[in-house]
Amino acid sequence: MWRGEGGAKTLYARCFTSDASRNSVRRTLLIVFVLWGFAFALACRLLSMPDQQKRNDESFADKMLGGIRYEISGELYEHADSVFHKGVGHAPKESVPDWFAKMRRQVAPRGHAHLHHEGTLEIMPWLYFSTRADPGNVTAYAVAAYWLAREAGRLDLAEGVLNEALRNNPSDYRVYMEKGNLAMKEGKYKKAARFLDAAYLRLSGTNNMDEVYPPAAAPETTRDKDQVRIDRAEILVYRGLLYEMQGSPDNALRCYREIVKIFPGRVNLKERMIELEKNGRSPTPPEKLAETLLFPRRYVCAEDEDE
Amino acid sequence: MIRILVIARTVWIETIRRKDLYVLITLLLAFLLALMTLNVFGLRNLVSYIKEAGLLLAWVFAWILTIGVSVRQLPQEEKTGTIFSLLAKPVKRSELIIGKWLGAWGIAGASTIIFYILLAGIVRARGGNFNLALTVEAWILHFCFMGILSAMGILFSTRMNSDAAATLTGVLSAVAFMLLPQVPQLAEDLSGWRKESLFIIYYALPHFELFDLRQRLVHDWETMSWEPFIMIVFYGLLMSAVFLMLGWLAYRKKRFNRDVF
Repeated sequence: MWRGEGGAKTLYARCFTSDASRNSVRRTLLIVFVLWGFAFALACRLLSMPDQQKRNDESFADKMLGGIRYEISGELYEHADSVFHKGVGHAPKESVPDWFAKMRRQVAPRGHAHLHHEGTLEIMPWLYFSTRADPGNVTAYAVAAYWLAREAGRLDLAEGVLNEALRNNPSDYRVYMEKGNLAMKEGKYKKAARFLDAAYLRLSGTNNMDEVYPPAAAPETTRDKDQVRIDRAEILVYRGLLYEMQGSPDNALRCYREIVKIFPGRVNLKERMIELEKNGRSPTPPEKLAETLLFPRRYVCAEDEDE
Repeated sequence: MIRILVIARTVWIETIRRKDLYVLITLLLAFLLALMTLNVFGLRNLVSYIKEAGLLLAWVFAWILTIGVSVRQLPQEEKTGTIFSLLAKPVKRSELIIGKWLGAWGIAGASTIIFYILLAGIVRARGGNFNLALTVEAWILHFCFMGILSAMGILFSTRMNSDAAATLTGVLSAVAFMLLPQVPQLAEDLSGWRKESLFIIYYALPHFELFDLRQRLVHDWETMSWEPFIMIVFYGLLMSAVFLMLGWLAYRKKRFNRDVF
């Protein structure tokens, strides 16, 4: 049937005139058939999965990247910090002062500079990618929400970010703490109180609630333990201010006494406690103090503090 | 000189006929358009991440194109047998090497201009800014980087087939770019022959990081001072000359086997 005239004959002559050609064509057809079979099976698998099962499966980041996604997320977060400092990274000091080191200093941007105002939002894509690589990176969510609320004035977008963080990290106290802070910025004090209470319950070693609300991750390092102490104090100070606004100085004092146990050097807080014990209120209204704490005039960088 | 330019012109025409360049341009456009459609926490009109990703892609694609074009020139001539008619013209081997290098370097440089123009257009459409003087400065240094890279590719292709030359050029250039700046810190913990060996590698390999002005361009810093700029350009030309010289030394006595064809 292949011995036809014209194009068919030419096709026959090209494809089937030698054993090598025949084998090559067979091999190609076999490869194409195997690939097609694989693609068909994969399509059936993907299309037949019910929605519930898909939701329970690992995320795309888990499947594609495995454990390395945590490193990638960390690197992307560091890159967001570098972008905030206008491309000036934490470069190590050059130990060999040769011509190449001198030229590297000329090429790379130098100095301590920050993005300002709306320019700060340029760090958002890197925080976004960081959270996509690791949805458990609560720090990236918190930083994104902070700058969205502060520089863009978009409290609604900040709330969206924290809601996503809550969906992905329902037992991490930091998410509740940030939501409480955000609610205070919005002036929604009852909502803020609820979230700060939820954050406090989820702190490890609090009220034996670890079984009901297990902490997201036990602080292993000294740095983590220090941060938990700082966060505990922050939750308590805002909760104390909310108690003052509600007219409950005794509850407020209870919060402040706990802070002083953690950080005995907080002189201003001790003075406020004395005023509360004596007069039932402090000269500085709690709303004003909360505003000062929640809306600092200037962002203080870690490098600024070193200087 | 005319012979060199004619050889370079054939490299240009051959590369333009192939699909490599168009595939890379299409890929760059596709990546950038995909990045533009991202909804980053509900924000729009963010630009610097597109600049950064676009410049990274421009560098990666230029790297791929430069290595791909440079390493196949000499092996292709030998494989097809056209090397004999070429050298019988007469064309000196040094002219052949310089012509091939000039062609590969030129087409890679021209492609990079297209990448930069595409990226600048997309960034401007998004409301961003590209400092023209700084962009020109960045492109010139990038061009010098491609000069060294194509000279490396030509050098290795004098004695290897195109695949081996491409692999070696790719690996060496990637290692030089990423690790050389860290060598002084790495060497601090070493002593003796290990430290000496590390510094030999540090000074022997080209320092590609000196040609990378992407961070300045992304974050709108001021242009570099002209003195270090000129010094780095001179360093780039010098390194290219060194690799071309080594390539000529490797190629000048090479015998071609007719029976292979």
